[in-house]
Amino acid sequence: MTHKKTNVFLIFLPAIIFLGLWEFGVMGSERLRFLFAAPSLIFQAGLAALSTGTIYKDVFFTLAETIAGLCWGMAAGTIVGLLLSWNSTLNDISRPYIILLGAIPIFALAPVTIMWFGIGFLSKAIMAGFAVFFVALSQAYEGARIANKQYAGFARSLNARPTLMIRKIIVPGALDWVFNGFKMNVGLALTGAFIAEFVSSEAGLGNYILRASSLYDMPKVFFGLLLMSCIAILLTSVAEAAQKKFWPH
Amino acid sequence: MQVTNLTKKHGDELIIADASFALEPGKVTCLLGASGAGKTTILKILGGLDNDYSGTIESALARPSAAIGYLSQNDKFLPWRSVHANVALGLELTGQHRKEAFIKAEETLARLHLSDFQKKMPHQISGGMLQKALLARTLALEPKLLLLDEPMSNMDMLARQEYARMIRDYIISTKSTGLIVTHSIEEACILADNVYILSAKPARIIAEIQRNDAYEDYVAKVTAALMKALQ
Repeated sequence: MTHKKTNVFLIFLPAIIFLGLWEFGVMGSERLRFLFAAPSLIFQAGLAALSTGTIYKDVFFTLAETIAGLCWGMAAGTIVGLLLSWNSTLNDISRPYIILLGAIPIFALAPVTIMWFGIGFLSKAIMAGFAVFFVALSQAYEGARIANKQYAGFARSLNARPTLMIRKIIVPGALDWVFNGFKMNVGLALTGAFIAEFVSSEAGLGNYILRASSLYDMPKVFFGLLLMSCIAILLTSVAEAAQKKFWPH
Repeated sequence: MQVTNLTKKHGDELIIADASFALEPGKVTCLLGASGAGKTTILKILGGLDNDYSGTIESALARPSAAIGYLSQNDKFLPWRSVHANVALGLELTGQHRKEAFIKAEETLARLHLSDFQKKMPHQISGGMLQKALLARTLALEPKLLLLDEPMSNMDMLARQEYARMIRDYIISTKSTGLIVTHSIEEACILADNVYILSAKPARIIAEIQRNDAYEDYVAKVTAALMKALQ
């Protein structure tokens, strides 16, 4: 199927209409502007935050916590997923425990991680990592299983060493799934870091939004959300670029 | 290689019944039979990928090993590797250094007149060309026994002739042994020096036809024997 490139203006059109309706919809009503803010107020709040400079520290903290969580959560989840796909006995034993741990809502872990690791950077990075671990595990497991099924027959017919088979076929074959998992996990890592910041923190966008919402400062709340989205877009773009580089197909 | 009274069961179902045949160096042999007759199962057993059988297989080759080039119908190239890197894969999997494997793969592709495609990715080349490149991956390993499962199913007439020439050249020049299984009379007659006709399931060997005559007579004899076997 051929795909014609869509006009850039058409992509932005829904956003322009939405922002226009929002701006005009709350115009003339202080109550509505208080409750829903307005794009122009969010813009002003953003400019003020950027000019005073304190927001950079919050963005840096959330970004760093998210990246640290993504790194350890993705690495640990991918390694465990690959191990489980290779050893069926290990998989059978660990599967119920993985389901059990994976079913715990990430929000419920926040108080525990804060008690164990404090209210600083570490507990946030650990929460972000927990949030991505299970998706990374499941993607690596499935990717390796499919690579084994589709491509490893040739290696078996040569009686190839298992280590070579894993290095040349299974791990590269699972990479595409791992990168797709990475893209899904960007949002989850950000959520993990945000929840931890929201529960207890001294800095970060979760902390910024919490402070703003406690003062009913809706433009600041929305500006914080906008920055969170910007971080998600930035990290997803990095993941996509990496996927294109390592998996040109 | 000598195969004697090869029998295979799936539970109570008999798949192969007392199949005996010999494979000679420098020659291509074909097992010709209807789809679902158990031909692929015979190849898997000879390739060492299925050890649940009775009967004897006399061979000096370890099964499975790189000395046996088994090309199945489901073989695929790795989509993240170029054709060149895919042809080198078998060599890498047998422990050869990456650089040496790539040099040897390049030589094999050149010998088979496939150099123009070596930089392409698998999804960029046609089905027929892919079959040839898959054969190159197997031949790069210089197997002593070549096992091919319906190798020319996606090819037009010209490509078939070219492919058959590639296989026959290899078998004759290296004095290795070739075995193909197929349901196509044309495929069997283009490639093989002698054809064993298999019955429908369970697979039994009904007849053996040697290529002594002109091509048309050979095809007529094989066709008549297959028709008789399927009646």
